[in-house]
Amino acid sequence: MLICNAAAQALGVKPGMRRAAAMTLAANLRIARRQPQQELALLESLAAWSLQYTPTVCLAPPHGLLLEIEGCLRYFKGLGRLRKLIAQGLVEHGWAAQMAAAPSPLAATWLAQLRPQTVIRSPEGLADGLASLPIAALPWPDDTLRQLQALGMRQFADIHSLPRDGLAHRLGHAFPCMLDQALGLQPDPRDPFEPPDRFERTVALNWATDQVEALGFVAKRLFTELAAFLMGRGLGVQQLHLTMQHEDSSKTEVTLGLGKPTRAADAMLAICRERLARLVLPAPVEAMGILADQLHRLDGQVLTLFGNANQAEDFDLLRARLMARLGEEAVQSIVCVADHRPEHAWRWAPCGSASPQLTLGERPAWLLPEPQSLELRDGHLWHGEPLQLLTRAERIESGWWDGDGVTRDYYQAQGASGRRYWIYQQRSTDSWYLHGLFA
Amino acid sequence: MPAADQATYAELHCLSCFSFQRGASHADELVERAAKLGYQALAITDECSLAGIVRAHLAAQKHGLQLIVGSELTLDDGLRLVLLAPDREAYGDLSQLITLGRRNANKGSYQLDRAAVARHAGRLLALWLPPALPDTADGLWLGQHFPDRAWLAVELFQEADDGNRLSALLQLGQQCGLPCVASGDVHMHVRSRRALQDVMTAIRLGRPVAECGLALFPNGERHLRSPWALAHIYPRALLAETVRIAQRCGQFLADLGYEYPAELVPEGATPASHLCTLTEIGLNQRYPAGAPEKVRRQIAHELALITRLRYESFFLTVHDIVAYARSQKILCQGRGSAANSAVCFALGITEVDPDRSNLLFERFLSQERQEPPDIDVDFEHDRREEVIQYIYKRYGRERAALAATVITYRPRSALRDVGRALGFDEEQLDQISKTLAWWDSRAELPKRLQEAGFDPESRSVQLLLRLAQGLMRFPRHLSQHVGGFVISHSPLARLVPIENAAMPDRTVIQWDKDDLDAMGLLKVDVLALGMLSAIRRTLALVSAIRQQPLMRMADIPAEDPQVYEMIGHADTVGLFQIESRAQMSMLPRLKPKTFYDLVIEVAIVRPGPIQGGMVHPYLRRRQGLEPVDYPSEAVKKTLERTLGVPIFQEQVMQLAIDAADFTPGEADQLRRSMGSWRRTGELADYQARLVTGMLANGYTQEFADRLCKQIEGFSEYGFPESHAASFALLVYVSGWLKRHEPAAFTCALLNSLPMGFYSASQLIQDAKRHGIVVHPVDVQRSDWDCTLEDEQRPQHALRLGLRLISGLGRGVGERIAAHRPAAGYDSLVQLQRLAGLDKRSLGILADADALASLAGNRRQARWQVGGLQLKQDLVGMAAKAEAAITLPLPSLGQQVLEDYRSQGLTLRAHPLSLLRPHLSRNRLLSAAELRACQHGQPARACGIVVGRQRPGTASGVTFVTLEDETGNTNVIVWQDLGERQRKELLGARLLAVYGVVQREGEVVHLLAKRLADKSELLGTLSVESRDFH
Repeated sequence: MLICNAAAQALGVKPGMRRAAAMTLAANLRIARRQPQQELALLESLAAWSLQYTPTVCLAPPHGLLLEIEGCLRYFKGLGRLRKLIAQGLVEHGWAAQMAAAPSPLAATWLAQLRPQTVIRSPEGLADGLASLPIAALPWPDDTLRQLQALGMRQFADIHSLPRDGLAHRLGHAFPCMLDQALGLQPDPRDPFEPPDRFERTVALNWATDQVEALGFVAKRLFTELAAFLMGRGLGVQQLHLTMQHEDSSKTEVTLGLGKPTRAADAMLAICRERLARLVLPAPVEAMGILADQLHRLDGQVLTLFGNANQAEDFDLLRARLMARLGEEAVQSIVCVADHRPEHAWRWAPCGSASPQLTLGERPAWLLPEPQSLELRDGHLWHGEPLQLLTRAERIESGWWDGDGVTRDYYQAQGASGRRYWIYQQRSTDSWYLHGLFA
Repeated sequence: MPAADQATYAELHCLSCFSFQRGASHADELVERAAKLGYQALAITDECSLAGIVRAHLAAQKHGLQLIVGSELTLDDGLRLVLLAPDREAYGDLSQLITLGRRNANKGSYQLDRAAVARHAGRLLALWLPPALPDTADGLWLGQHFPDRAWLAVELFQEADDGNRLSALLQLGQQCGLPCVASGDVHMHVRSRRALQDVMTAIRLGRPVAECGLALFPNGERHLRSPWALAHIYPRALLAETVRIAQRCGQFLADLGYEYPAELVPEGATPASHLCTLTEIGLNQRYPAGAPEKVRRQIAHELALITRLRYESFFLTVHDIVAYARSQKILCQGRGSAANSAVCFALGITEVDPDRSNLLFERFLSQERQEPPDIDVDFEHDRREEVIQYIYKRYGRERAALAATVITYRPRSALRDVGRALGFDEEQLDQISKTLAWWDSRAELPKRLQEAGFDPESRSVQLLLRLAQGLMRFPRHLSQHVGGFVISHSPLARLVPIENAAMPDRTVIQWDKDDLDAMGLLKVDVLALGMLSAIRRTLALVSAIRQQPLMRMADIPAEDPQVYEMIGHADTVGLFQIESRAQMSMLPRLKPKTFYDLVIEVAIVRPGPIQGGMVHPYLRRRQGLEPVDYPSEAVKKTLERTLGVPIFQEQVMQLAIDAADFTPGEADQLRRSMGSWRRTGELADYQARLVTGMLANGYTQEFADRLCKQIEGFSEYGFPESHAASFALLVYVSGWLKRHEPAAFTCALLNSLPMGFYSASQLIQDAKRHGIVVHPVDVQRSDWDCTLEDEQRPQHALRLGLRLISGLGRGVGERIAAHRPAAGYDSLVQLQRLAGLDKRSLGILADADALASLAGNRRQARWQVGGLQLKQDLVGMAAKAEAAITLPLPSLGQQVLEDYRSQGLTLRAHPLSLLRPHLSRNRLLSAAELRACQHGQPARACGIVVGRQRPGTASGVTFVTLEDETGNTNVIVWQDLGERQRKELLGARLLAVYGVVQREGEVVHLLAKRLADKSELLGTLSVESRDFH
C-alpha cells in the first residue's frame, strides 16, 4: 500500500500496509496496481520537457530528474526566477513535484525527497545541509540501512563519527565513496538524457469505459505529456495515431491529422474530441495510446523518415488488404476451444491464430448460430422433411459453471433429401432442436 | 426389456472418494445406491488403495450387498487394469502389491511395473481397461499372466462412437482370447454429483474448471446406472459376465484373521500365565507389605475378563513398550480406564493407584464387543521418537506401522479449493478464509461471505457455497495418526496396504482408527506430552541441586496442603492442564483440597460439562448453597463422589446400568453414541430406552430428563474419569514442583518449550514475581539450555540459555558452551575461533545482547563483529586491530524492544512500565490496581494483548488477556462490541479497555464497554525525542 484516500484511512488502512491486511479492514477496497513502466515513461517525457531549461538533464529513477543549471542561470536571470519558471510549467501541466538545488547530484536528490525547497549554493555548505537528514528515510540499500540503524545511527551527521575504513569494511567500499560524492568530495558523473525521435505512450485505464468524456480525459493527459515532450525539444507534430484497446483485445485505431505541425495540446484535443464523438466504439476501452512517429520542426519540415515495411507474402498481403478495406475485425480465424459444449468449442481469433487439435466425435461443418426448435409431425421429427435418426445418442452434460450448462443427447439424422442433420434432445424438457448441418 | 434379466449386473470398476480428487461419492453412498438398484455385487476399486474398503464393508453388511475388494492401477508403461480379490489369499496379494507400489513412490503417489504385477498375479482376477487405440500385445500379456482370470472391460458412456467402440473391443477380445465384460468406471453414485466430480478434476489438475476443457468427462454417465439403462447400452452377454465374475469372489473381510504378536511370551508360558506372572511381580513391588484385599479382588476380576476376551497379548505389548521407556529413563504414563486398571497399575503402565479411585474397567473392555481395548500412553514429547524407533526395531517395519488419519475437507479448505476451481482469485479466497477464522457453523457461511464483501445472492457465490458444502467431509489425503501403532503377528502388508508418510522413515497403513476398531486390530497409542519432559527435567535438576539420587514421580509426597493452597489461589502458570484462563478462573471457586478434587477440576472445565449445565450445580453444592440428594442408593453410590452431579462419562454409563437396566456392553454403546450423536442421531434411541428404563425402576421423569440433557451436553466433549485421573496426577506433580522448586521447574519448562499455554516471557515474568533471580543470555555463562546458578539464595538463580535466541542454530549454541574455557572467552576473536562461528551467528548473538560481557552493548558488539576478519589465512592471524570507537548509547526503550525482537522477552523492564507515566495520566490502571477494584466499579486498563480466545461454548464472547508489568488482566468482550470494534479487537497489539470490574471472590474480570488501539505507543519506545523532528 503506497497511498490511500481518506475513506480508506478512516477504516484503518495505512500506507505501508500489506495488501491482504488492508483488504481485511476494508473489504471493498479498490486497489490500483503501480505501473513502473508508465512511471518511467512519464519520467522520460518530463526529461524531454526539461530540455527547454538546460541541455543537460539526467534521469534519476525511479522518480527523480536532475537538471544541471549552473550554466544557464545567467540566461534565466538567476536561480529564483528559474525555479519559478519550472514550478509554473509543472503546475500548468498538472504535475506535482518536489524540488531542491545542491552542488552534488546525490545531495540534490535526497534533499528534494526529504527537505524540498532547500537550496545549497556552495559545496562547502553540503555537510551542514545534509547533517540532519534522517538515515531511515534515505534511499539506500535495505541492508545498509539496517546495519547503520543497528549501530544507533539516526542522522546523516552521525555517520561521520565512524571511521572510514571501518565503514568500508562493513558496508563495502562503495558506501564511503557515495558519501564523498554526496558531499561533493568526489566527482559523480551521470549519463545525460537522450530524447527519442518519436513519442509513443499507452495508458491503461483503471476501468474500461466507452464514455467520450472519460476517453477525452485520458487523451488530454496523453496530449499534455506529448506537448511537454515537444516543448522541450522545440518540435511539433502534424499527424498522430490514436489506438484504443478494447476488452476483447480488439483495437480501434484513429489517425488524427492536425493540418499543420503543432505542439498545442488543446488543438490536438479538440480534433480528437470531434473524432471520438463520431466514432462508434465496438466495446469499452481498456487502454489508450498515441504514437507520433514523425516529428517536425515547427516550420513544417519532417524530422525523421522511417523505412518501408518488409515485403509481405501474398497471403499476408491479401489479408492486409482485406483488413484495410473491410476493417480489422471483419477478417478473423476460427480456432477450436477445449470444451464439450459445441457452441463453446470454437471462437473467433485474430487472423492467423493457431488452433489446438482436439479429438471429439464427428461434428458438422456448419453450426447454427442458435439451435432451432424441431417439431414433430405424425410422431416423426420434421425439418422440411421427416428425419430418421442415424446414430446412438452422444450425451453431452457439461458447462454448469458459467450459467450456460447443457444436458443434451445429440444424434445425426437424415431426411429423404439425403441431407444430414445434427440434432439434439434437451434432457430436461425432452424437446428437440436442430443444431448443425453436415456438408 | 425383459424384466427378469434386469437385476443381473455387478459393477466391477467403481471408485470411491478414497481415489482422492476423483471419486465423488462416499463408499456407503455407493453401496446403498447399488443395493437399491438391485445390483448383484459392487466392487470398490480405488486407485492403488484399500483405504475405503472397511467403510464399504460395513455399509455392505448393513445393506446386504456383496462387496468385492479390488483396485484400479495404472502401470508405469501406461497399462491400466482393475484387479479383484476373489479370496483372502488373493486379498493378501493385492494388499502387498499396493504396498509395493506405494512404498516405491512419494506420499500420495505410487509406481508399479509389469514385473511386479506378474509376481502377484497368481490368484487375482484382472480386468483390462484398454485405451482408445489398444495394443493387442497388452491383452495377450494379461491373458498369459492371469490365465482364465483376465477379462477385457468394455466401458461405454453414451459418447459419439459408442457403436464402433463396442464392435472394436469385441473383436479385440477375440484377438487376445479374453472374454469381454461390461463395467462402468463409476466415479459417483448418482448423476447429480457431476458438478462436484468436475470440481475434483479441476482441483486435481490445479486449474479452474472452465479451463479444464476435455479433461472433464463429457457427461455424467460414470455413475451407478440402473440395470434398465445398462441393458440399453450393453449386449446381454457382457452384463451376464459381470455376475459370473462376482460369483467367483467370496466374502472374507469379516474374518481377516488378525493375530497379536506372540514373541512377548517366554517359552513354556501362555500369554495368560505370563501376564499373571508379570502382574504378580509388579504387585509385590507396588505393595511391599502386601496388596490390599480390594486391589487383589479387582485384579482377579480383571484378569478373568482379559483372559476371556483373549486380550493378554495386548496388555503384554503395552507393558513391553512401557518397560522399554522406563529402562531408558523416559517418563511415561498410561491413560484410559484399561490403562487405569489395577492390572496396569501393577504392570507400571499407570501411577494412578486403584486403591484411590473407583474406575469402571468395563468402559474399555466389554464382553459384548468384539473390539480391542484402547490404551493411550503419553511419553516425554522430545523423546517419543526413541520409543517409536524401538517399536519398529522390535517388530520390524513389516509388522508395525502407524495408523492413518484421514484428512478431510473442512469449511475453509473446501471453500479454498472449490473457489480456485471456480476461478475466484487468491485475494478473494484469502478474504473468505480470514472471515472464517471465527466461525464454526455452516449456517453462518452466507452471512460471513456478505461481511467479506461478497454478494451471497450472486450465481458464482451460490455455486461456491453449494459445491463447498458438497465437498466438506470428503477425504483429501491420508496423514499419519498422532501415535496409533498397529502391531501384528504376521506381515501387516497382507492385512492392509502400507504407504509412505510425509515424514522420512515413517510408514502408515491405509486404515484409520475407526477402520482398525471395526476390523478388530490392535492399536497402541504412543503419544507425546510436553509436561512429561518438563517433569523429568525438573526431577533431574532437583536431584542435582539436592545432591541426591534421581528423584522419581513416585517420590513426590502426596496431598501436600501447600500445593493445594497455591492452586486454590490460581497461582498455576506452567502447571499441567489447570493453567488456562478458564481453569484459573474456576480454581478459586472450586478450591481443590484433595487429589480427587483435581480429577474433578480437570474434567469439569470442559465444553461437555459446561454445555450440559453441570458446573454451576456442582459448585453450588460444593459451597453448600444447595442440598445434595439422591433418588436411590444405587444412584448415590455412583454420583456421591461428584455430589450428585454426573461429571464423568463412566458415571453416565454406570447410571444407565444401575437405573435403566443397561448391560455394560449397551452402556458402552451409549457412550459411543454420545460421541457421535450430532452426526448419526443414534443417541435418541438410547435416550428413549434410558427414560423408559428409569421410569420402570421408579425414577421420576424429571430426573430422567435431566440426565438425558446432561448426556447431550457431553456429546463430543465428554471426559472420562480415567483420563482425568491420569491428568490430575500430572497436575499434582507439576504443582508440587512449582510450589517447592520454582527455579528448577521454570528452568525445565523453558527447556521443554514449545508446550503448554504460556510463552517463555510469561513463564519468566511469573518466576520473577515468585522471587526467582533471572540472568540474561551471555556467551560467557549460558549453555544451550537454561541452567541454574547457585548464588546462596533459597532458590537458585536462573540463567537463560542460548536456545531462547531466535534464529540461532542449536549446533552453534552447543559449540559455544562446549568450547568455552574455564575462565570464559578472553575476546571476541577467541570466541569466534574456538566455537567456529560465522558472521551471521555472531550478528545474532550481538542482536541478542549476548556478547555484552565481551564487547559491550549491542551497538558496540555489532561494530566489533563487523570488524572481525574471518577469512584470513594463517599468516594473517595478527589482523591489525581496529581503533575502538564509541557509539551512541541505546535508550532503555530501545533495549527493551530489541530484547523482544531477539528473544521475545526482556529482563530489563516491562514495556508497560516505561509507558506507565503516560498511561497513569490517562487513568489507565495496571493489572495490580485493577485487582484492588470493587465489583461494579468503572475502570480502564491497558496492556499488551497476549491472548484472544473465543470458546465455542460462550456464544460470541471473546476473552482477551492483557499483560503489563504487574500481571495479567482478563477482559471479556461481548459479541456486539466485538463486531462493532472488530478492528481494535483483532488488530491492536497494545489495547486499552474501558469497562466495568466484575469480581467474584478472587476472580476479577474487566467487562469491556469500549476498546482503543494504543499500539502506536509501543513505537514511541524506540524514539529518542531529542533528535526527532
